[in-house]
Amino acid sequence: MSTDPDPILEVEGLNKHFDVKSGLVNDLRTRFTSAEKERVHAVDGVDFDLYPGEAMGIAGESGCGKTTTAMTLAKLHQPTSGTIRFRGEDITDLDGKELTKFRQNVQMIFQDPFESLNPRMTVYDTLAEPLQIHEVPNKRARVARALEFAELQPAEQYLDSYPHELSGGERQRIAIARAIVLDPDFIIADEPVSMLDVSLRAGVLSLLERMTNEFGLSIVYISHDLSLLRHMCDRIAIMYMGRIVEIGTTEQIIDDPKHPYTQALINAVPVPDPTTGRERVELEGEVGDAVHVPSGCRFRHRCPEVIPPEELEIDQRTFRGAMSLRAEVDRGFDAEAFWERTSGEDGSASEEFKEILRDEFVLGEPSRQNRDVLEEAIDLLAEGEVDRAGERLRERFHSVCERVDPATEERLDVADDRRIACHLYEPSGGDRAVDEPSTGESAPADD
Amino acid sequence: MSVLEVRDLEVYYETDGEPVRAVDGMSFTIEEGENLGIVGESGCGKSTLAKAILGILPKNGFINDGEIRFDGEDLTAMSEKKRRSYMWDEISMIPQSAMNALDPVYTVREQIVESIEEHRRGVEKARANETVDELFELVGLDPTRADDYPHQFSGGMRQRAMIAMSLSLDPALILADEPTTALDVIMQDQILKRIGAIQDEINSSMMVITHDVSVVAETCDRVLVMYAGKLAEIGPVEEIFDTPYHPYTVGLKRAFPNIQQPDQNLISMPGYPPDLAPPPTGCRFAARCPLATETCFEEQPPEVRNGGLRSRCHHTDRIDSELRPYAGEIQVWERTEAGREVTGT
Repeated sequence: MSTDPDPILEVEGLNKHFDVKSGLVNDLRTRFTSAEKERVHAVDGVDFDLYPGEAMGIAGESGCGKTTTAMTLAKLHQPTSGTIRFRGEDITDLDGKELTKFRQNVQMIFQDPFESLNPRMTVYDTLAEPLQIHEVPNKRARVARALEFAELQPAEQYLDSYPHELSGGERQRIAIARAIVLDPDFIIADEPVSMLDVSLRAGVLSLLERMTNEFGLSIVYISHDLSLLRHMCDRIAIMYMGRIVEIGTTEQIIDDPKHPYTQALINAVPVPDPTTGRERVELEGEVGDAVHVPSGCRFRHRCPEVIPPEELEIDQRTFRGAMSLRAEVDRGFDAEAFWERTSGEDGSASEEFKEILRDEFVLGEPSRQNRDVLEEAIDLLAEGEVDRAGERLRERFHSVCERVDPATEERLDVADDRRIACHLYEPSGGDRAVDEPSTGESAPADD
Repeated sequence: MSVLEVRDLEVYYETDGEPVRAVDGMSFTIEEGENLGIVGESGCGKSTLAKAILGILPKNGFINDGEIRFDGEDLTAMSEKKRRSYMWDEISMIPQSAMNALDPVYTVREQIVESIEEHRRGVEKARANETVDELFELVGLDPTRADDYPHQFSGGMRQRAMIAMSLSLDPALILADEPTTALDVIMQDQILKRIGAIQDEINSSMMVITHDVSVVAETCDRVLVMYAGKLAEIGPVEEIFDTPYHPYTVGLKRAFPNIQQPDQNLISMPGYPPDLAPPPTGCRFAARCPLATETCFEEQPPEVRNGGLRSRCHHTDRIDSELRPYAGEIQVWERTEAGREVTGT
């Protein structure tokens, strides 16, 4: 499918940012002071193409920006920047009549059929409304056809029903019928079955499959359920904190995930078979704050494979511990929080304080030199010398992952239509050895 | 020894007409330290069963007959007061919408401390606070966050806080109703891992109600498959997944995509569970069953044993040859009474 030369949708450098605080007072405040506006980077530099007849999945944790991406594609959000081209035509800034015309080609299916249908409208009204707006003739016949396609037969029986008279599965089928009644070119389905009971899911999924096959529709599935996407999609994009971190064919992504985040995501999927164990990747925490995005790779705080400097011999656990301590220090080091955990007895407290830091940050099996540096930094922290501790740590423990944003570089070398935004997959081994270690000043905002 | 023993339990709902027999003659046990999974479609009686055990049935629901023995004592026969003393103390729950189960105007700590003080009269405040810190550590939350309000927590953190609360009185049995349904995969994985670790540590038993067979496959020792208020099949998790002997289990298993088996056809069994006021005379699954014969519509199925499985079906002897090899073909399921109705043939 990706061999088709003309994509139906081309997305380039798509951004959607939201203001953290909005309103008159805040506007004035930012206008008259130099305070920087805080923004949530919900979608932050997304590129991909969608081909005719293709089913593409977008996956990621809650809060990774997948739904915002979908809504921006349908122009339900106005993108902050970037371009969206539909059939070669730039639709990023469409409005008025032209936007209405574009919307005829794009439909959405939402997660919750209990909320996405108007409870005061009959099934007929729900389906006829888009036809009315777009002034399409032959409403009755088209509505009936859409219902029949959605396996709601006989159609007449449903026309005068209200949503509360229908089961969850029937409602989602109505939502699907509404999406296809205008004969669109592409559909965005946001978690289309996650609210449905098991017994209904397979039926709705096969309906969606039939829909793409029979009408040659392109479809974008948004879901965190990778087993579902594997079943439904030709290609999958994995998102993390507003970025696509890996994109490729379904087989590439599921059978041979390259990005550490993709690997973690796939390993987290439970398998309906008690005899097959799965390898669990330890991925703690959550996506995190998309206001103060980390420098370099956004996944690095949770990444099990942060890249140490080439000349440094260190195991991953020790390195991660050291980097966490550094992050703690870069953030200003809240010594109080650690002191609080000591018993506070005079004399012994300092030793106790150090022990708490060691427990938390000296991990794995550090070599003598690495341990010495960590110990030295911990001593400095116990004495309140936070800046010096930071310097000492930065000298030895730094990473290309915090300095260079992997997504800004072209990374097409792994396979033709596959992109991976990760420094582990540098086109030519990379230039990280010659990179200068970062200093406190040059390290951008960190979370 | 059995922690919980349910015998011939019947739970009905009062309606204008015939009562709805939501749970109809269920018998099973949960052993010490065991995880029992309860699976089935919506409306098959899973949650009613849990509510009956917890004694929180809605006003129109009542236990018509049967026993629920906890530690040998029949919960259905004791006074309300005595029964209440068991709740939370001995039997606690992780509710379905744990995301919304916390009170927004109290901090998480206050809510957990309150539940401890309510049940452990005279416990020192400091001790209760210590318990909260320990529980937070146990479920993987930072104890310093205990003084936050629920809205300051993400969905996954609230779920962990609920798990902490359900463990606060060291119960012997925990009822978890869809504990991970609202969460994304990573959070689900973290919570499931946590639940496993906690159980190893405190050796409580658990009843996990879910429609997601993958969750059951990963967390449970035994599985009970429910259909229309009746036990369809019960047995060790490996056997239920490998060689189920009830046609409903065979079909249910086929409804889930497996990330490790991309080419498996997904099957949606046509039709719905039957109306239970009153229920059909014979086997309740008959209308949707590819193996159904006249007997199935007339007589209740006997309980048949196959290895470690107890299955209620007239035709367990035909499963191996007539259903299992063809279960992946939707036509097989469409050749049933319910299937004919749906496809209009």
